[in-house]
Amino acid sequence: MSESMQTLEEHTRSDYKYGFTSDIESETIAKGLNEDVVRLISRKKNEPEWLTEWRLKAFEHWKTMTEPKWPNVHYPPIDYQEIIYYSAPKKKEQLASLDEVDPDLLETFNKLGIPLEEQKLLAGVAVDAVLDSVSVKTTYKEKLAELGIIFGSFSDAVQHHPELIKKYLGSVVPATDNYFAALNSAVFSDGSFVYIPKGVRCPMELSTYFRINERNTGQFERTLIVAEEGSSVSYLEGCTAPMRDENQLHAAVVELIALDDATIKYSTVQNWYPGDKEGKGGIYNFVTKRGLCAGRNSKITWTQVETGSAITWKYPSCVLKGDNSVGEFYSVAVTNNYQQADTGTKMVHLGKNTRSTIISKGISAGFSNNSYRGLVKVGKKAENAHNFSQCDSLLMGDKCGAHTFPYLEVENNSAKVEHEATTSKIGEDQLFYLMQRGLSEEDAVNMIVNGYCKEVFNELPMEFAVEAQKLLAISLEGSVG
Amino acid sequence: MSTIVQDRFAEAKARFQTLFEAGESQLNGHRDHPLHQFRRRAIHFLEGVNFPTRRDEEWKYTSVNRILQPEYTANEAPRLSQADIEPFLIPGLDCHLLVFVNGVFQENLSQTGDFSDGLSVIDIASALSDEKYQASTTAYLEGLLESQSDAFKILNAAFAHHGLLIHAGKKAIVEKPAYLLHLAAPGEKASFNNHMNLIIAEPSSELSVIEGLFELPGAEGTYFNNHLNRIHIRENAHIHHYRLQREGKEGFLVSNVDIEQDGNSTFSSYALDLGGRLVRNNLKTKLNGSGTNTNYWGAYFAKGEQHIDNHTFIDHAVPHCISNELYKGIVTDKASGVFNGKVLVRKDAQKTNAFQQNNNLVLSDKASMDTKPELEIFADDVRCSHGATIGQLDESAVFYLRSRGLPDAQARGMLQHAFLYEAIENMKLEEVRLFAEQLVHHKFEE
Repeated sequence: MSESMQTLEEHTRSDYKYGFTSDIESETIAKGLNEDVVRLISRKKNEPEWLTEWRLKAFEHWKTMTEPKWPNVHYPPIDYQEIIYYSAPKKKEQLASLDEVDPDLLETFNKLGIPLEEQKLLAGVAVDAVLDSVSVKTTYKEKLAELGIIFGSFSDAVQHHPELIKKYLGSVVPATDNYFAALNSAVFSDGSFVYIPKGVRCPMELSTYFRINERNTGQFERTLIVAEEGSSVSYLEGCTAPMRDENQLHAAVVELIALDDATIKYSTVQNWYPGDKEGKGGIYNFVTKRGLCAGRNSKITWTQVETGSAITWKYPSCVLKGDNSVGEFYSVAVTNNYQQADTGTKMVHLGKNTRSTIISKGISAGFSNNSYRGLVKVGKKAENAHNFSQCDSLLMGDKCGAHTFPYLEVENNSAKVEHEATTSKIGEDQLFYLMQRGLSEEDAVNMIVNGYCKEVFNELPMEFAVEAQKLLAISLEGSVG
Repeated sequence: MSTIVQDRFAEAKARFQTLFEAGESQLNGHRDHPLHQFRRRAIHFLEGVNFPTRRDEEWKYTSVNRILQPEYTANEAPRLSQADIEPFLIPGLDCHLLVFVNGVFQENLSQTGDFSDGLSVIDIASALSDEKYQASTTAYLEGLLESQSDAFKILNAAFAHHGLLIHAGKKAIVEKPAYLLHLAAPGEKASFNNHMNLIIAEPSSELSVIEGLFELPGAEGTYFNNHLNRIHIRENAHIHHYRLQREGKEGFLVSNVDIEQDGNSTFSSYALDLGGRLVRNNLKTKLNGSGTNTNYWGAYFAKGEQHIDNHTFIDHAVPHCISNELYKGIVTDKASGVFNGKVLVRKDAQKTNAFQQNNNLVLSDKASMDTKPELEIFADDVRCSHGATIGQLDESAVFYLRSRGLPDAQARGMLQHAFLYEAIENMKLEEVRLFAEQLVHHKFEE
């Protein structure tokens, strides 16, 4: 049995491994949301006036909006006044070197398998670690700076590169875009900022690791990646949270901007706490992710492995504005027990000769519901647009559901749009074939599931293969066989 | 819903109510008839029901504003001669012919013949006073008003005077199909035509119903055809339902076909949509028993400023059922097309086999096509797949035909023809298929 198979096997049996809590002294503000809270967050982050105004404007708009009800997920209403909007590990002193990082913090990330010590790092991966609301440590920052690459926490970038933030913040996902994006715009605490200068190929994988620790907090981070002309970058985010009985809200915004000939590859291994077997607790993962292929020949690839969260609701999208730009979306979404996922993508073709590919693989087990919802839109001026979509669903158990809602909207007569979808369970004949070769039923199921997802796994960056496999807790326990 | 739209819809409703009252005053003492009592209840029911807006997911791509704007009247049907209806008859087909003009039955033009083979066709008004059919007819009509929120069905229930009950007796294999010819003759004022069919196939029977919806030549004007079919197929029975439509340039059509299938029954729907300014078809099947077979075949071709919207739905509530769907369409000029196919497989519907395909050709740069094939699946031991494409003619195929000496236009025409033909060729009655092809042929020449 290969190593990946073993990992898979292990995870189908194991409970949520990252569910511990760390006893880190943190500074939290009172729960609730009003204008003062927005100002307080802004003041704590020592933000310039324009950003405070921007937040307040978003907050004003948010108050006029209502929570959308159309997704195929069900949850009790969220009380936005019961959430703590800011929590940060108490800083003992200003961090200058690693030695001064709180040892408890280091321990937390070590436990997660995310070493913050550079010498021990997986070769060629720079990590920005975010705990609750604040970025605690960014590795390899200096080395990247030599190439002109800016990689670090969003708050740092606001202090040191306000002109870039001002130019690009909200340019892909406006503060008024949707309910959760508006909420995020008002109260976002931290996140990562990446800027790749003209012609630079980022020499290492960049990664952000998100961790929710504090009770009753919501995590609202904002990631902004700008790839200048001819540059390229590969970025991975991972996330975990402690096991708690109450639900916690995670509403992030990710904006990607690719200029002429630039390439951005954004990979997510999402493993928020999915709740227990009875569906109690878990994270609500309501995220807005959108990439803008602003320049000619630009390319944005989203790869996601969604295994965690009680509810996942996100549509990483590509706006293909530049001519010849390319958008790709590869997704594996696994739901088990009472998890719900409504995820997919939007490919908006605006430029000429734009191409997009969508490969989505859903696996549902237990009592879970897994929906693919996608939009392929070809604008009037998008000559020769081409899209191919494939979304397959695998059902493991008779209490779960798989749904597909693809929207194809074409306004141009030179467009070629193809969509296909299948839903099935693991074939008896496939199982029989593998078992008569001597594999146990469990192994056979694992092998088939692994093969089913291969197309997407292949898209994950090489350097993360090991880590991703580790994080990929395809929690199919009890549904195998 | 914006208040402007709301006001407009409220006005439309008021107009329909006035129209109803006007019709009521000419009933000549038929006020107490059970059908009229039912219609009265329907018009009251309308008050509590809203017309759909584009905010409703089901109507996202089709606005009903245009349909509801005109001030409709119940236009008198002009007297037609045999020669007038000749072009709409299906050559060589031996059938029971029933002709309706503006929703009014024309006895002089119809040739019902004898119903010796187990088929009976009677109007709903008579069915309500016939001991044999009273109970079932009442039940179906009542079903329309129960928890029913579709405004167009309610309107139909309120306005359809000349509805038909088409009934195939137990074990009756009806050789002779029923051909319902619906002709629209719009006048000065926009006319509002309603027709309702209750089609029931008793256990182990087989029956074909063909519906043709056309506009009479030379009478171009605005009209709204609100069409409703309520079909029940009992155990082991089979119904073939053909719907061929070439409505007028200013004609609106809303067609609802609700099917209920009992165990081991088969339903085949063959639809051809060529005409109409704005067309909306709802085709819905509910499966009551296992072992059923459901086939949907549809072809559409929209030109000019036409808008053709096909919504289909199959509710797999029971195990061991098969459904198969193929819709193919061409949109060109400034026309727009919509396809939404939904397959729902409920929790207990194991061993379901559902297939759905929708292919579209978009041939001009102002034409648009929105398609949404949906699968909602709650059972695990199923095989469900769907495919949708939007594209153009294969240039290499065009080249191949041209290399054989065909002019460009002819080569393209041939390929488009062949494209639609795939959805037409399944029509079981050869005469109907040839007739449908003829209609498509005319459409190409338009």
